[in-house]
Parts: sequence; C-alpha cells; structure tokens
Amino acid sequence: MKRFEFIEDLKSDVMFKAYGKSLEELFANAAFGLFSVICQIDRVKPKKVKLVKVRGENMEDLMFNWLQELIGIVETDNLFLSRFEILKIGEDGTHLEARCYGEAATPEKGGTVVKGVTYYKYELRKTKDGYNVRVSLDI
Amino acid sequence: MKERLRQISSYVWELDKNVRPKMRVKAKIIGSKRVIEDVDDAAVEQLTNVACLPGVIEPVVGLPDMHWGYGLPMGAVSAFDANEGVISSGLCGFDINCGVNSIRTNLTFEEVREKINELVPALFQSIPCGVGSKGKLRLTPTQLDEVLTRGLNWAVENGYGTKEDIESTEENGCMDGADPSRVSDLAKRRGGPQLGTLGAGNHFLEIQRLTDIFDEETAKQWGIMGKNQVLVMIHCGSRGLGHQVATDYLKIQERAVDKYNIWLPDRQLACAPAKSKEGQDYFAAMKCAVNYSFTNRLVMTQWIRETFEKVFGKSWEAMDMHTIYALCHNVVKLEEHIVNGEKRKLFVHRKGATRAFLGDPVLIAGTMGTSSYILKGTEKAMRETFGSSVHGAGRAMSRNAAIKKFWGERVRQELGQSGITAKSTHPKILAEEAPRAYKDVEMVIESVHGSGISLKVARMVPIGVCKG
Repeated sequence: MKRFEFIEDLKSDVMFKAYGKSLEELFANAAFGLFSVICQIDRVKPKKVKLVKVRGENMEDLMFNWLQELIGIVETDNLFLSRFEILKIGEDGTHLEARCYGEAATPEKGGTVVKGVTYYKYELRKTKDGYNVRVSLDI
Repeated sequence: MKERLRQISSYVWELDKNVRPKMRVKAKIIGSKRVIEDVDDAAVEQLTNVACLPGVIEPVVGLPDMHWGYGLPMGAVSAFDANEGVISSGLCGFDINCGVNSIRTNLTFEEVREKINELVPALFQSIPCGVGSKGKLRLTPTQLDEVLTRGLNWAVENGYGTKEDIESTEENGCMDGADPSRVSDLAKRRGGPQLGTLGAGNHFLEIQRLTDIFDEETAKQWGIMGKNQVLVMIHCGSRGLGHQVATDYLKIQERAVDKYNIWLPDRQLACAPAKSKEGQDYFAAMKCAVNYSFTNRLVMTQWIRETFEKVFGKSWEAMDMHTIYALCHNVVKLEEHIVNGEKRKLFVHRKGATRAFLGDPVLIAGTMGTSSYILKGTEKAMRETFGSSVHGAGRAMSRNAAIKKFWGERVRQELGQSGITAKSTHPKILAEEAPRAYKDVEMVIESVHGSGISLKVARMVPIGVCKG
C-alpha cells in the first residue's frame, strides 16, 4: 500500500490522499504527506524526538488537529519531521499520542510554507482495506 | 454557473439573484471576455455562495485576477452591513495582510546591473527566507504585544524605518483596536521568532527596472521619475502568526455558525455575526496580524536599505530609498461606502484584492519573469468594487504540475537569459514559481485599466529576485 499520493485538483494549493491499513498507519502516513510538502523529507534524519499529544471531537477532527499541530511545531520547535510513531489513538477519535522524529529545520532542506489545513473536500474514510484521508493544504 | 453570467458592458458581467436558491444579492465579475473565458466555473459558483450570507451588500465582486480559493476566490471582495452582517475569517483567508511594499531608488538600471551579482546574494544574506529560516530579531512577549498593538509606530521607534514610511502605508501602518489578548499563545509562539522574515512560496523580494510610465503627473508625485529607474518590491505576509490566527478563528467561527444558526452553502465560509463576541474577537485578533505584517515588511525594508548602502557605498537617504506605498491584499476593514445613495458602515472583506481608494497607489505584483504594475485608485472603484482592485496574476498551473513540467535550474538559466538574476533556497521553488505557471498579468491589467477600477501609472520588470 502506498503511503500517500498528490492529487491534481488545486491550482494554487496542494491536495493529497494518505492511506493506512490501520488508523495508526493512516495518521503516520498523512503526517508523512504533509512533511513531503514542508521539507525535502528524504533528507531529514531522525536526530531529535518530539512527543505530541492531540485531542479531537471525532476521528476527522483528530486528524485535522494532528496535522495542524505538526504545522505549528515546524515554527515553534524549528523542526522538520520525517518519522512518526503513533503510540496511542482513541477509537472514538478523542485523543492521540505520537512520537515524532526529525531534525532542526534549515532552508537548505526546506520545501514550502504550509499555512494551514483546510476543509476543502476534506474526508476520512474507512474502506475494506483500511482507511484513507483526503487533505487540502493552504500554501 | 458560468453560462448564467450576463454581460452588462465591455468589462462587467452579472449573476442574477435567481441563478440559485438562497442568494440574497447579485454577484458581479469585472473583466474582459478573455478574462471571463479563463475563469473557473467553480470560482464563479463560490461568488454565489457568498451572496447567500446574512447582511451581504450587493454585489459580491469578482476581480479580473479572480481564481478559485478556499471558500471564496482569490481576487474577490464582499461587503457586509456593520450591524446585520457577518465578519468572516474564512472570507479573509489564511495569510492575513499578505501584501506588497514598493520602495523607490534614484539608481539607474545601468548602475544596478553592474552590481547585480553582488546585490542579489547580499540581499539573500540579509533577508531570512525559506522554510526553516531563522529571524534575526528576538522579541520579548511584551515587545511582541507592542508590535501587534502599535504596528509601524513600534517599528519606527525601534529604528526600523521613518515617519515617512508610516505615512506611505495603508492605515498608517497600524489598525486601531488590535487586541493581543485575542491572539492565542500558539500564534505568538509561531510568529514571535519570525518577525523580519520573508517566508516562502509565492512571496518574494524583487529588484525592478521601470519600463513604462503611463501617468507622468501621478508618477512624479510618488517619486517615480523615469524609465530605467530601479525600484524594490516586497511581497510577504503575517507569517505563522497570521496563519495561526486564521486557523484558530476558523474553528471558533465554525462553532459560531451553529450557535447563531447561520446557513452556510460551504463549510469554509466560517463566519460570525458582526456584533457577536466571535466576530469582534476575530476582528481584534486579525488587526494584530495586520499590524505584525506591516511591521514585518518595514523591518525588511530597513535591512534592504542597509544592504544597498553596503553595496553602493551611499546612504539610503542619498539613494532616495523611500516607500512609495505599502498595502495589504488579504484583510477585513470597517469602511464607509455609499449603498443605494446612502452612506453605510460595512465590513469589507478583501481576499486577494487591493484597496483602491480614489488617488491611492495600487501595487500589483507580477511573477518573477513578468511585469509588476503601480496603478491609481479611482472614483469608479468606489462605486463598482467597494474601492478595490486586483492583487496579481493568479496561477494557471498547480505547483505539482509546475514541478513536473519545469526544472528549477533551467528556470534560473532562462530567467538569466532574460536579464533576471534569481536566487532561491533550493531550485525546486523556482520550478514551482516558474513564470509560465501563472496567468498573463497583462491581460489582468488591461481589464483593470479598461474597466476603470484603477488606472495604470507605471510598469516594472524584475532584474533581481530572491525567493524562499
């Protein structure tokens, strides 16, 4: 199963679809998709660890808040992240805990500024193979 | 929806209230036939969505650079009654006070061309840009609150710019009523270290050569003296601070939509009644982001002046490096406009739209390979577009498609062959921002001038570009 793919929908922004056999994999792969836009993810080494805790009202909301939290971390902690270990995830979508790995952000390994996650065609679905989520970013 | 557009005159197209259910007012697009042919159907539909919101004032306006955006197209204006209407974080967008500064010099193209290979890298060194770049300022939380509240007054008191810069900035570089207690701690932590940084994406710093003057009298008043004069343009916004303010209030206003029972045709049009706490809190927080962004651009302006001083060995005053004008093109303003012959207070939402009040400069940023323009606001804009004009060219191709189609290093070489020295943090950004990924700015300007919502004063082309 591929982690994520870009979708040609938006002229001025970026849309991608992430996949996962489990919710844990889906959340990790969506984060991977996000950081593939923010930085040159293949060049980002797992030198630093950041523990992230997020709350949500349901699974879609939790995913939204997770991605939004990671966008903030780039600036507050000056980090590019490339590996995501989901430690805990509430089946009801109320909470998530993850350990994220990356290194100090530098323009040389940078991609583009992501301003935020949007609700445009935003959708998290359960399928027979697992889960997928469609995410549009404002860049 | 496009087929429902009715041509009223050469540059005005209307959508009647009855083109879909629940529209309260008409929508209007300003543009030539060619502009309309290029407009996405989905973007036209977005105008009709906004026309359904409470207290909306006729008409919802699409401008000639209009292209699809989240909720509302970029290049659009919508106004709401100050009492019965809404204030919307969704209609303002993520990059609050994304805007443009234009700085003049008395240097000629020949003088600058000789040193361009020294100047562009020096500017690239002095202005932090790109994702992961570090700002040079370290503000205490109290100082940051001062920036948010006092905007350019803080900047000038701390050695960035002068009183003249304040006078040449929209709102005199400070919106009154900004309240930092309405800005989240996360927004402050994101934006605090970024003051004085350019960011990335379509934001840029450009050295430009003046190629045409269309209105000599106005140009002279603004210190634009003649062909081959060199100008500097900055295009940038409120960085992580503004992005987080937008994100926070999109959530808050999404809940307000339920609380106040507002019917929305699109979830992205999150809003709140103008007089509600959720509306007023957003307005007070948004003003903080506006003030931050004005300060961000003036801090960089001062560093640009210092870099020119080093390269050319003269003081910036001797090089006449004054701000021609500084403005925002993503903002909400409380303004007075004439509606059906009556003066009314309105919340005007400009998303990818520039204020174009009578006689004021209007700055239009092109792409790194094509022209930028300075225009002048008109009485017609006051009547037709709530005193607004376009902001740029608009993309014609997605970033992903551009990366597949263009190769960054090749784009840099091509720009070089056209006499443009470009420097970026990495080649990919040049591919993403390749001039051919954008619409033709000349077509946009022809419609702006032709429709009379603002008039051409001067045209510039880039000779040096710094991208994040």
